[in-house]
Amino acid sequence: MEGGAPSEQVMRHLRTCGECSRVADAEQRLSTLIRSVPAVGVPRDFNKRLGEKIESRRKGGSLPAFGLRPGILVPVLAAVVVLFALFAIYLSTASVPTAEPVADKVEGSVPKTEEVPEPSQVQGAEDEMPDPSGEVAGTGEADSAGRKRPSEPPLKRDTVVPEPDRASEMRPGSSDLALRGADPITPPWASPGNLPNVQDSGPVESSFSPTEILAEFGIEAVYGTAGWKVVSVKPGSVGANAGVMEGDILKALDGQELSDRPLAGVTVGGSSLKIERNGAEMTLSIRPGN
Amino acid sequence: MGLDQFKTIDTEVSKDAVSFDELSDHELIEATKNGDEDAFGEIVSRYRGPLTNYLFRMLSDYEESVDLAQEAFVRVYFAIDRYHSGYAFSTYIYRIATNLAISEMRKRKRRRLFSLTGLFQADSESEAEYQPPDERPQPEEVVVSDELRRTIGRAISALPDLYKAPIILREIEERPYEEIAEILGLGLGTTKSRISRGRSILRDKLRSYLGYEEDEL
Repeated sequence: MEGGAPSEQVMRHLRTCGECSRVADAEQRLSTLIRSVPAVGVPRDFNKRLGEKIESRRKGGSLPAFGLRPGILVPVLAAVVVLFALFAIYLSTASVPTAEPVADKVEGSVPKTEEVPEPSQVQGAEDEMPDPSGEVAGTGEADSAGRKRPSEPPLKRDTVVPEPDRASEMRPGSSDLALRGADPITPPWASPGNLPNVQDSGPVESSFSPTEILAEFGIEAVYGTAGWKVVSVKPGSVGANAGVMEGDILKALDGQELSDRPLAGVTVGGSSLKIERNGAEMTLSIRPGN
Repeated sequence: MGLDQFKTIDTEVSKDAVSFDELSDHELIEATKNGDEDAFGEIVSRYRGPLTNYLFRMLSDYEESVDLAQEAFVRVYFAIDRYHSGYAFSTYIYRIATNLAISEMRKRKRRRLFSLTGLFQADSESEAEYQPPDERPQPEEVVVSDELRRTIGRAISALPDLYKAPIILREIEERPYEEIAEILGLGLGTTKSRISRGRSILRDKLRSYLGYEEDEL
């Protein structure tokens, strides 16, 4: 019974059924107890302070809390998330070897001509490659070798032949960032074939606190004299799927006793969780993939 | 009305205020939209107590509760043109207050993650907070000691967030199930289920005060 006026039918039943009547009385006592919690008053200057807040907000011209204006907040947050995701993808793919295949491909396939500059010139030229015209800036001067460059046709990206040793320069780990950054190679994230490798999420060793590990499982628990007592289990979480229930006492994870100290070497990729439920001990299987 | 006038509502009762008593919430909102801030003052007077109490039950922090109750009114005030009378006003403002409380609880939870000891200090600290005297009449048939009241308050405060708002709205604020569902943005079935589960947790915690036999319930 959760409150509300019971129907006549229910009342009739309660008059005849001793057990239900006892339960109903107990529920009523519980409601009465809960409602006996004293109310708090409001400060005498509640309205005055409220008026001051309204006035200061009005003078401020805008509400500080974004929550009131989801129309603004949502697009801004979306833009931030997209930018962050792009940046994260960029960072994760920046170290993927991309220049090597191209360098290997072009190496030796095109004869070196007079138009092909020395590596230092390639670098200097490619520093300017963002210019869509493909022209090399600063070509009005002769270089130290006396080569005349102004009359030469504009240096095109597709005519640049890297020196044999350039491939090695372009390998990951090369410190020649200018060269790597200017290389006319499709950005890694633009080619499906160059997506960063995602390694299989095998067992991972952790040294986190029990709270952090349990939180990963969707379990909220408090540590007391009996051990870690489950306060709540997030529906659909790993913990819920494993069968962890509110009120369970968590005893050990992967054979390690759960205490208030960090766990060393717990296998997060697949664990066994020993619990105590209603005085009986049992072991649950935690599978993060589920 | 200027805000100066609004500020004095605590101590003054204008002639209009008498007539405000007869107006519904929606009528007061309409009057506020038309620039009558006395009408907004009446809205505040109607809801400041229940809202502060509700937030206090959620947060167990009196100053924060007062602050968030005021914040809820501020939000209503500045968004009053967007208010639709399709909702009961009480639903609307309780929903704002609930969101504020949930947001505050999340902030606290994040802080608590860095200091697990806070979990065990909460009970003893909550008693130290200022709590004005109870002005609400108590049921005559129940004599509850102060100690028991504090215990009940702590039990409610310690409820998981999932059940706290439904229990407070139902058992203390005595809101109908349908309105609670709207305030919390839940289905009716889910709302009833959470209230039932919350009661079950409270029953376990308060068993010794309820005079239950071990095998009862």
